[in-house]
Amino acid sequence: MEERVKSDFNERFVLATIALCKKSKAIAAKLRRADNPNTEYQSWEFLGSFGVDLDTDYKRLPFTTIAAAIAKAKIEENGTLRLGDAIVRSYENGKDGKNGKDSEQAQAKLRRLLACSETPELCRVLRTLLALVSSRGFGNLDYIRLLRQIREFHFDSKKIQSQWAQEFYHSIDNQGQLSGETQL
Amino acid sequence: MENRYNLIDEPWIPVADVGKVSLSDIFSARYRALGGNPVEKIAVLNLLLAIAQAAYTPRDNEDWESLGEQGLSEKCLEYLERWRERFFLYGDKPFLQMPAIATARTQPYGGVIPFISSGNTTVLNQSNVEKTLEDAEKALVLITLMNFSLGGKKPDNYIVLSDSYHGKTNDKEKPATAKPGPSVGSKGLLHSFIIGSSISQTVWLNTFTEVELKEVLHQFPSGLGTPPWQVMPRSENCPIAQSLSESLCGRLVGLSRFCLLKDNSLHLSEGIPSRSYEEGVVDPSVAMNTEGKEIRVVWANPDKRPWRELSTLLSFFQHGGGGEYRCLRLACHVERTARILPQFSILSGGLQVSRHATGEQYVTGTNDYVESLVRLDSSQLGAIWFAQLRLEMHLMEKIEKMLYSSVLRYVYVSKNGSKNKKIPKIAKKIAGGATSEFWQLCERNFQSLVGSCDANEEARLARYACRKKFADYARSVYNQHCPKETARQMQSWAKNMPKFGWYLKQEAS
Repeated sequence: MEERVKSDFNERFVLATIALCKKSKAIAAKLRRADNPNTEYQSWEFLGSFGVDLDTDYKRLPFTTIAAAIAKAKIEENGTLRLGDAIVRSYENGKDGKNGKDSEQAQAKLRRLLACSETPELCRVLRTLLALVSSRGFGNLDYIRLLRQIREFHFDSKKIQSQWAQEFYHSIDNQGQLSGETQL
Repeated sequence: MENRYNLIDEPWIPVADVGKVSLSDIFSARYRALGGNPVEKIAVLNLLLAIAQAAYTPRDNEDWESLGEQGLSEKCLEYLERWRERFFLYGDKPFLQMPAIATARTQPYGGVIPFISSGNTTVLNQSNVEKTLEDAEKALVLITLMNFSLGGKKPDNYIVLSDSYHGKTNDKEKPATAKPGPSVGSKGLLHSFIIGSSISQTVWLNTFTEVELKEVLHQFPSGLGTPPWQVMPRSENCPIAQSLSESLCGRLVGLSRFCLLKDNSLHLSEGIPSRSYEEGVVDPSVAMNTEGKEIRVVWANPDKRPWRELSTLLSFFQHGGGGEYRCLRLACHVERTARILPQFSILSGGLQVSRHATGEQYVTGTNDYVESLVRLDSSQLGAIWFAQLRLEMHLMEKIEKMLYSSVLRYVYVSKNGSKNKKIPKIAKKIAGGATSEFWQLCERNFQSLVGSCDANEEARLARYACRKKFADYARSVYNQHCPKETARQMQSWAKNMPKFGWYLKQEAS
């Protein structure tokens, strides 16, 4: 009997990308350009080898976005920070001296995220947002969770957006479950 | 005048699953429960209790126990047979009526039944229209009128039977507005009874003993007294009337209105005045708190359904607690009942009314009947069970408050955006609607919560399951009232979301 829980596709992709970036600078350089539509093709070889459907936008873009973010952040391993939380932390102790949650800029960033309606639009918004989070020193994002969320966005955008909003306001229950996920 | 329509033989009492039955049927067969609206139930139950107390008042609890349900029913049947002549609805001595009041102005039956449109009241639906009543329904109206009459100008107070009586005139020597019946009070009192498996058992369970009458019921200086049908008073303040106003029987079936039934109307005037809760006198079924500056009672409130008052009504379980409400009927009889029956229920009900500054009472759109039946397990009852129940209710109220403020903040911020403006009424209304829906959902699971307030592990798990349900209800109500369609809505939704982790954590481990 196999004791180890089988890892899902998102996890395998993220872990493989991290490992590959550490191993090869050339591939890391190609992956860094994956979130730019003009240079995105350079990462297709890697994505193709993973079995990602390159023809369809909403299937391809989540992987290019995450791969680019990982390559830029130069991380050693997958982190635990959630996206909403990362936005808050990026604006803590900022110029306005407010708590991250109360910062107008942070709220504007969140609202832009919540206003996205399609995966390509979301990936465009995430490109700058992830760059910001990374530049503020919060590279330890939970990329596996984020990738799962972006991939699911096409099917149930409201659910994913409500998760980000809750992450932003830390409305997480003791059981690690997001409050809004329980519905009758 | 011909004596006819004897309440002992004619079917007039509404009974659940059966229809209408007579007084002798009630005591000779085992019917499950009374029917009708809560006020009718309480009025009929009070009449049955007055009959039982008059038929036989047990000396003490031992005598009461040896008497049993069957014994009391037999005594009641004997009593009814003895006083058969006094239970005619029409005749020389009509039941609970004053032929002397025949000169008073008449009032249609609809005028004394709540929710029936009379005068210039708007008719909203067919149930507001007055119907022609049969004798059975008239009897029921008469019984409810005795204690549950609403204050107002409808009783004709020009007619005063006693020359020396001034209770029916105001300062200007004009006829005064009639005072509400003793079981209604100013806003509508909440009444509670112990309910057994049959009506006759319920009567037996709620019967006071002589010992209790002496020790506990000091509100009634005349003690048990004589029921009004045995000796009717002659006027508003004759010695019989005075003794009625100070006795338990006179409280159970008071004569707050003097009336005489006619075909389609009734002569009506104010009757014997009864002392109000402000003077420290209430029906034994009403919970009262006399320890504060002012005497307080528990009112019927459609916004706070009676099951939520259970921890208030049962506060006698708490030893040494001060400032508590006390319902004499429950305080005297719950422990006695728990020794005999494995399970019993508590019925709480009443009618909320609104009152005008002039003293006129009426039923508005927001007023309503309330009624709750909660089943209790005798093996669980006690101080520990009660403390847990009280804690659970307290926590649920805390959840309600969190939900209210969350919805309020959501609506307020998403509509205004600024914190300095006054909170609009609509926000409060939406938040109030949300909490009311939360309680409605919780009501379905309240019985399981009552059953899981024990101290053992099994009860703790059951309690945890209840708490999870209640928290889920609150979340779902929040989600329903706070939509998250747009980005701003979703932001506000997440920002104000109530968190119930603390509530579940306490019972989780």
